[in-house]
Amino acid sequence: MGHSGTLKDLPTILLIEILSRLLRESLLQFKLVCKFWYVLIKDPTIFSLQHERIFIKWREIESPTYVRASKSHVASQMHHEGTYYWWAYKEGVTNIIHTFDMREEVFGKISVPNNIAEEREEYISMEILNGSIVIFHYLVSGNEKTFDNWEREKDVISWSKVMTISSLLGVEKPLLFVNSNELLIETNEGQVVYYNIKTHMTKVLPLKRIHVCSRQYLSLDKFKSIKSNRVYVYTYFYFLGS
Amino acid sequence: MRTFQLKSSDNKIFKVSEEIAIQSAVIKNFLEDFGSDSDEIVIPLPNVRGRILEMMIEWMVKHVDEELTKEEVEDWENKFMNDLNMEVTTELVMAANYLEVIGLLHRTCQSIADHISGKSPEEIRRILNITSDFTPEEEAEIRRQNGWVLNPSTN
Repeated sequence: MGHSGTLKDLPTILLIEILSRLLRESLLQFKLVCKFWYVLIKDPTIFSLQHERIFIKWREIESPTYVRASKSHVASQMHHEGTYYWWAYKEGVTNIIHTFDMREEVFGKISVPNNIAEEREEYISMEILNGSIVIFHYLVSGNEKTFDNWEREKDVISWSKVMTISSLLGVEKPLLFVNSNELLIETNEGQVVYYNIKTHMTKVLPLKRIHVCSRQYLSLDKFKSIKSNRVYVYTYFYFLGS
Repeated sequence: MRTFQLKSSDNKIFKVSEEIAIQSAVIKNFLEDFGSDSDEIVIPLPNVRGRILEMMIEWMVKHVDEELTKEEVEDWENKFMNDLNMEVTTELVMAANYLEVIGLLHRTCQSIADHISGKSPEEIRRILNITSDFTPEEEAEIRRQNGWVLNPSTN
């Protein structure tokens, strides 16, 4: 990522943040800067130009009734191609994956595999691999730590169990798929290892857990008040190369 | 008080106390989720270079300093902002947004708004190195519309 500090390169949301602090007269003048500014400033869903002082129209989108899973489930939310996914539960109701399409602003629901629809104390991690939603799951309360890995292909409604990783490896948590065959896992000794699901070979990485403990750190709270393109992605995988 | 290390994109390490660091909502959430065990934690911030991170920390340190009055912090902050050029201010906007240091984000956005406020479209294009993509006819039309809005009585 570059470090040039030119206003031209600011994300649109921040440009709006700055423009919203201007008086109406300046803002109307700035429609002449270029077409992009013109379109932005004229957009009635962003700026209200009726008043002397401009204000941004944040819209609160009515959120679904489900709440999200506890924050300790760091990978239970993800963002992929303009859609936000999060693992959601509600007392007395089965778990689901909620979705929010940022462009259309439509909420959706995806049912989860039957055996884990009722679970509460679980570790859940989601990601997209080759267009499929992939879930890892294990029960925190169990002594035997085995992980079930489920996959739901694009446009297919049912889930299929891809594999179960046994506790033999000393797995603390599955972290993420590096590619179709290789999985990163955290061991109960705090090591991070590559695990090849075909050959069952493992390779220890010279890393501390903290560097990879979450592939993406996404915060859902933001999008309740702040629109569309402001999703926070914290990528720790970035450091694996070094 | 726990301390942590923040690592900038150019690998500069800054030691900060928890009290200072948690002004960043991102760091706060991060520590809540993973940071229970030790103070050896290094939080890599690949989107912020050292010089900018140093400024952010300076700003955050002032904002938890209980020896300073609100006015003193404001005076300090105004001077701090006035000494920055647009490029650095813009980088601070991006860094404050990335780390969610809301107070700093608001202050830096305001600083840029103050800087561009009242300038002509031509001046803005020059400052931001933007080339107009309007035809002369389109430009004239927008000016005409603006005239109506800004001076409704004259038309």
